[in-house]
Amino acid sequence: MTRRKKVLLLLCLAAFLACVFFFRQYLPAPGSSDEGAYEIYSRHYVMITGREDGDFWDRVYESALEEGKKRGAYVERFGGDLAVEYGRKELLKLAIQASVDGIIIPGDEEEETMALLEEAVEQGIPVVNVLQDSMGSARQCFVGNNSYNLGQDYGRQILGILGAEADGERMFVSEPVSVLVLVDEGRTDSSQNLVLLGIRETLENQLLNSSMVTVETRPVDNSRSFSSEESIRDIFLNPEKLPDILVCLSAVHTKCAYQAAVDYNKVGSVQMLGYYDSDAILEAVAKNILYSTTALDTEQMGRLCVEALDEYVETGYTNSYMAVDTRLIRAEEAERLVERE
Amino acid sequence: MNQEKCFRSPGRIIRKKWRYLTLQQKLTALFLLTAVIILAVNLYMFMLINEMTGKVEEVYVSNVGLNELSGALDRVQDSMEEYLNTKSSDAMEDYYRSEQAYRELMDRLNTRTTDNQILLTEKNIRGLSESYLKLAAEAIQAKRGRNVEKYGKLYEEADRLYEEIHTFIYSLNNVQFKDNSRNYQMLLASLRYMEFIGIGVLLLVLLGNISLIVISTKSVTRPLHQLAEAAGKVADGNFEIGQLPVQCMDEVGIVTNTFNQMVENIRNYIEQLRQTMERENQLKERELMMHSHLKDAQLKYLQAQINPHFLFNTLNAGAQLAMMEEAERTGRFLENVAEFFRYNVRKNDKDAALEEEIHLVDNYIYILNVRFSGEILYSKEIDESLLEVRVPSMILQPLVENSFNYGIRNIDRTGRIELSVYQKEDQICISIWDNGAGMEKERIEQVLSGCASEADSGGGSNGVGVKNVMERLKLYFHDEAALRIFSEGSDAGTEVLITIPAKDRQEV
Repeated sequence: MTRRKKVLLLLCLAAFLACVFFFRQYLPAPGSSDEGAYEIYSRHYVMITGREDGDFWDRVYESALEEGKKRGAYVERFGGDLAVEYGRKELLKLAIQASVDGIIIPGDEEEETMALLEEAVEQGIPVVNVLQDSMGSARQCFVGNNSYNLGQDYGRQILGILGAEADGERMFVSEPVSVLVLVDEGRTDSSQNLVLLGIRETLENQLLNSSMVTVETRPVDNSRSFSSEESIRDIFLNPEKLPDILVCLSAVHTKCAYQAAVDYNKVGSVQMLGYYDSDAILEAVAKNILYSTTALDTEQMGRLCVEALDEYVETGYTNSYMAVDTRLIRAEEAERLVERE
Repeated sequence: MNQEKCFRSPGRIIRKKWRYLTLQQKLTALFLLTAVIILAVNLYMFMLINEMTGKVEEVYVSNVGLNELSGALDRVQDSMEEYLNTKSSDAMEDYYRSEQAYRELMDRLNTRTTDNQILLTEKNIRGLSESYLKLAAEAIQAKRGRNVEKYGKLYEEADRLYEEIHTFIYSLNNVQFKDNSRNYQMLLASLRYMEFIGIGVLLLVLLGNISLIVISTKSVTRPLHQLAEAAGKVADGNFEIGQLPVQCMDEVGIVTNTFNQMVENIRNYIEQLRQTMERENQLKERELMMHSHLKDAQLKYLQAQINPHFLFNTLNAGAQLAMMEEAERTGRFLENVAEFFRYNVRKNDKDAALEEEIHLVDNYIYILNVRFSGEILYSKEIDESLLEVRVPSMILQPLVENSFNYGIRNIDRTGRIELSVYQKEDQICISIWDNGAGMEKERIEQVLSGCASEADSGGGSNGVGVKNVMERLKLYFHDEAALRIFSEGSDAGTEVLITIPAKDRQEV
């Protein structure tokens, strides 16, 4: 047999084997796509979040998941795939009954929640409150920002809108200014009150005639689906009662508010302070629809939650408060961030 | 070296074994190999189809399992409710049985923490189920203890958890159903593709097999082709072919070996034959030479007997005596006779100038005229320029002698002999003509073919016949000379014409 023939024969054989291999690979194994490749973890943490601010919680969850994987723990978005939509408290109860190894949940100060937290801790399940705290509960740690400081930040932004940066000297306001703060009706923790306190105190301290600035709150109903959006639109439907400055304390409220401002052509006449740094919000800041936005470091938040749980599981102790950094984003930075993305 | 021997590659071993297989074994092995390949591929395809069918059957197994779990949970709940309602021992028994069955099914659920959502949900269901069973057991216990308030509360909690577990199972079932449906669709698509790919693989194998058969049969038939080609050459008489290579020791190899041997033998035989013929030729040549030497010896013997010098001297003495006695004619006669003999002795085996030959004829005619009282009228017509032409000696005199003896000796009229020498184109012609008895055609043929020479050479002639002249002319002029006899029959005279090539004049 000549060399050429040998090579030809070998090529035929290789082609045949390749075909067979391809064929073999082509056959799918039922369930293999999901069940075939998975990692085993030593701890099972769950994160329970509300329906609101999906994008924000997604980021926090991603960060927590990543940090958990590094530490040999899997963080589950509890109740996310269920056919029935359960409330936060029901999910908390289910998580306790499912005997998970740790729970991350935004707190509130309702009695039922407190009792559930108590029950969880009794069963040896550590609980970390995230973003909102259940003050006085048995939870192991609270991971979030300081609401009073956040309020002060908003206050300084309002002063900026009014004419000058707060640099220690007190200012004078010639015309009456109305500030409307959108608060979540469903939230029972004290964080919103602390934000309001921060805003009010900052204005009082910095303004000679703080009585010219009225700070009011508008509860936004989010008990039903889409009700937040309807509540916020209602504000823009009544032009006489439209505030000069609108302060939003959640991502959803921010989005709804700037969308309504655009739709009702009120951009410029209402200055808005936003919350969170999603792409859409950053774009709105860059286009000056929003005066500024305050963003929490979601990556840090998720990471700290898992760190706190791990610390408690491993040592039995952890800090009861872990602070998350906030960042103020103005038009220039928002523009840069949008461009970068 | 030893290592090399020890670790010979399997390919080499197979090749070696292949060489020693017979044709039948080779063809059988080839067909078996291709059949085995086809069989193996078919079996493989069959196995894959079987595997896929199995997978199709398994697709919804997980859903069936969850449905079973759900059913078992229902039975636990029902039996618990029944017991709480009736407190019957049957319900209690049912409860324990269904709880046991549910636990068995629960044991199949995942307990590990993974990043796989399905498995993780299984873990959650398991955890919730444990809590549920605990609540149910506590409720039953409370019922036994008739603690109405407690079992009522526990039942409520268990009932809620039962609903929630159902939600979990239902959700997991949904996820799995989606997953399984996707798998099912993929399997269906795979089955469709499998048909095409299967045909493709089979075609490929078929092609491979055909190549294998072509290559292998070629290795079997190539020696046969070579053999046929070589046999064709041998049939055309070409024995100068090299030894055919013997690649295998099968039937063809044996035939090739035999063919090689046969060709070698034939070649040897031809060589032997050639040598034998050569030897025979040499023998014949030697025989001829011996014959020639014998003749030569005979001639020398005769010449010795005559002792020409003595005869010559004697005739000279006679001539001188005749001169002294003033017998001039006798003297001239004796001189002519002496010259005649001297020439005969001197030129017997050499060539001579044509002039010398003519002079000899003159002498001879003179002697004859003396002997027979001038009966012969001799004339000659000679081209003087041709006198120096060299010819074998003793060619004219025997012919003139024949003209006299057989031509004019026995005729009543005056005998005439004419000798003429002339050039015609590139031929020199020497003609001896007489007006004697003439010759029949048959006689001419006999003389020219040499049949008559033996009988005629004995009487009267000096022993040199026409045939002798012809042969010597041919030898001398390398077959370019000719001797022809012309006669128009009885009493019509005879002409003997010798033609020799003029181009040889210079060479001679």
